[in-house]
Amino acid sequence: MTVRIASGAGFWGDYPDATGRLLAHGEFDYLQLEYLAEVTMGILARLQESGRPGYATDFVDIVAEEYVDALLDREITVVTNAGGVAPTACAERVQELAADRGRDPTVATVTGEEVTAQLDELRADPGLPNIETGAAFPETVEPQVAVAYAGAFPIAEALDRGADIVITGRVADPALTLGPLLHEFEWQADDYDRLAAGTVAGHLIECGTQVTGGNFLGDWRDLSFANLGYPIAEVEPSGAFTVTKPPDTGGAVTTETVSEQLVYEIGDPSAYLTPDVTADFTSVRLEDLGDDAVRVEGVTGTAPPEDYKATVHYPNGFKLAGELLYSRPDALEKARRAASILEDRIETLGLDVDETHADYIGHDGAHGPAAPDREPYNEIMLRFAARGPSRDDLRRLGMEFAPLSMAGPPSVTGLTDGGGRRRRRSSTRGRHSSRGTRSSPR
Amino acid sequence: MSDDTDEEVLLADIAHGRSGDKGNRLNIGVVADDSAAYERLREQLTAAFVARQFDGLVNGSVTRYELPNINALNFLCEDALDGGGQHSLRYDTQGKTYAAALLECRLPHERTHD
Repeated sequence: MTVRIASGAGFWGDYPDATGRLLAHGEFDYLQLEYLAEVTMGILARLQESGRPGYATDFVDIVAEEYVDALLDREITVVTNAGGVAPTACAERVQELAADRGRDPTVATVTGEEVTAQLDELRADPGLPNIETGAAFPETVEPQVAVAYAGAFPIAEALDRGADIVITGRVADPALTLGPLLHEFEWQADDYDRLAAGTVAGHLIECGTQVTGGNFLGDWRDLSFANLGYPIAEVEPSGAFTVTKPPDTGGAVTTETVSEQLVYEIGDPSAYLTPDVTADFTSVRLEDLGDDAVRVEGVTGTAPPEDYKATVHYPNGFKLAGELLYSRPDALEKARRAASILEDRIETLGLDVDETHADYIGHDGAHGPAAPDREPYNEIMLRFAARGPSRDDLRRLGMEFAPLSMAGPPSVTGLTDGGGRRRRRSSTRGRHSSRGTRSSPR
Repeated sequence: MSDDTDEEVLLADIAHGRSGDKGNRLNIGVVADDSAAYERLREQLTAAFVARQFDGLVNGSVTRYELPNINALNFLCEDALDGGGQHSLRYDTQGKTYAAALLECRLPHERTHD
């Protein structure tokens, strides 16, 4: 007996028809949908503050609305972290939409991971050291939302109790896969090797098409990116599993694509930490079975860490970025000159700016000082960014971009704005949340 | 191509990889095409080499981890993303393109034949 778990969303903003692609070509028992990047929780908290939903509306608008009938008819159980900072509200909306179609699925929520209210207490004892630097939690910070990463067992419990759809807030991403496996195979909390295997399965499929050819840095030219297939993990009771994708879809599943995803966003590969297990990625054995199937076995694990990881989102000033396009000849020189004019104007106007940053897109927009010199460039987009404590001062800086189309270096374009006060090519972001990663005891 | 042990080699010709973020940390996973290429990477693609490539971009230390099971190395770079996430002023706030930059590096002549 194998349990087949498909991944139909690797992030909030993934293809809206991903679930449809899976349903059209794939056979699977569970559908996991992952929406919460690190930055997403802060964004959702801000949306909720302004009266908008604090959950991933993509899930509700697209998956719950368009595909709920097909999923229920095929008895495919959905496990998703779409709940964001409002899993209960998300579940209520899903239930309403299902009811409109005359359906009555059992929708479960997993909550309790939000620790905003306990933050002061945790700060005092045992403290909230920064996971990267070890620094103590700063006193001056006023958190918007704080969430711990929950594990897979609450998801399994929801499934044990008959859920058709499980909606969580922040959970360790692989828990969306491990939860169903705990439920199906009745793995125990100290079955560390199998928990590690389920965690590796989750890690490999949670980013959707990144394991089926998306972002592949090997021979990507050979891949068909049209109708890229979303991954399915076919897991055996032993924990061994096969990563594959539906037939007649684009992309590829090979040891190369799987290896690239295995090393994606990890630290020490011998100790991949989740609340459920410490998985050893150096124990993973891959075998290419051909036909877009890779078998994964041999995974070992040990006890999980003592502490939970949490992210704390707090307002930390404002950010602005604006763009100007300079053409040849001497595009880079013109763009650099424009950036220095902006720097001078910050000084002259006495704007309260903590830091500025210039990207010369076409030259170093992606790699900054690591970019090699390849002049001459046909054109360079100057992207000038700044951050600081004052929204008004950054807005004033935003008004410094348009004048450069008439009063700066020549052959500049991209400012086709109608002349309103707020210039289209620059925008001030609202209070941005800077995340700090903390750990707190379990 | 990993047989050309006496030649300077473009990393992209013997390996592929992927990079991403965890907070203000960057990781770059480099997967060698075969075990010979992996041995060459183990020898030459050191943490110090990677730190040099990203001088000015990665401000903290670089730690190298080995995954011999898939012929891969993982580089964990501290203080690498200008604060990361929404704090960063960079265009590539999450370091998604940094693996491609590393793969454009050239490894020096192998000196094991001397």
